[in-house]
Amino acid sequence: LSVLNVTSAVAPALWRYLRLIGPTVRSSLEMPVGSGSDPWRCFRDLVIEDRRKPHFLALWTTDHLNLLTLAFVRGQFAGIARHLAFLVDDSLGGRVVAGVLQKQSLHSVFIRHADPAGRLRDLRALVELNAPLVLVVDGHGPYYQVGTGIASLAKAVRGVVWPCAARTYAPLLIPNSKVRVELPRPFSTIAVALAPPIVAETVGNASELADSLRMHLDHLRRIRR
Amino acid sequence: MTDSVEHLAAVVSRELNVELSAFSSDVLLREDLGMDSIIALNLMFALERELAIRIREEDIVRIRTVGDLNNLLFALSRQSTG
Repeated sequence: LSVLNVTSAVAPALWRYLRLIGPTVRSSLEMPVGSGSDPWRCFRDLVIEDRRKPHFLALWTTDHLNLLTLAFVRGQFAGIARHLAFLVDDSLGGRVVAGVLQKQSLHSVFIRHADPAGRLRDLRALVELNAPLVLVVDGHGPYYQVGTGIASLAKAVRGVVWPCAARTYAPLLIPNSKVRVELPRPFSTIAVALAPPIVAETVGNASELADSLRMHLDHLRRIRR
Repeated sequence: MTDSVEHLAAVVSRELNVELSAFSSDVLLREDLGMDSIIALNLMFALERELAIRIREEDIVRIRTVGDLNNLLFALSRQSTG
């Protein structure tokens, strides 16, 4: 089976599943600062509305589908998701997610790995897009390690990186030999938590930024589901 | 080197965080000087800002050595003044 065949079969099925369970799913959001009684409003103000700096919502591969599911939930994130761009790569998982995003009319930014000139073109498009970006920091493995490219990119564009976790109780697990990829069940609650943002300009170099991001993401993994 | 090429070399040195003139022309940019795709992107943006032109991604990807980079800077310098 080619990657294209698998993608064209799996992406619509996953999209239908998410559309089916979306209305049954609840969500919660924990912001690190100043959220008051409306954390989604706070999220919108701090991450979406601020166009002075590029904002990155950084999470582990494990949590990616949990966060994506929120775009199908009746609630504030569904509206917010339309203002986000989701970074996807040319792996099988990336192509499936890109298919789901396309069917849901959500914005994706594609990054090629194999073609250096294409990759540079993709990165240029990403920088020029000027939209908050959702990205998995361990997308191509090794898993649960922050890729240096992400940290370098954040440093290069003087971005603000929000370590993010999206967890759910007793999720379905997508078969993958290398990492647990979670998928919410119907009627579950997706708990999203953000750590304090890392302002790239205040961090010495990309390596320090990656270390700080990994520390925050490890901490967030322990949040209550 | 002409003044404008020297100026571009200074821009590149700043982006790569190395003194370009200190290296011989056969030094490899990626393997020896650690130029990854993000640094290449920064380099491209910096040169575009300096010269007010759009550089093709293929031209950046094609450069492998310090010598290739110097050749590109000469070509870009000619392009911007001519």
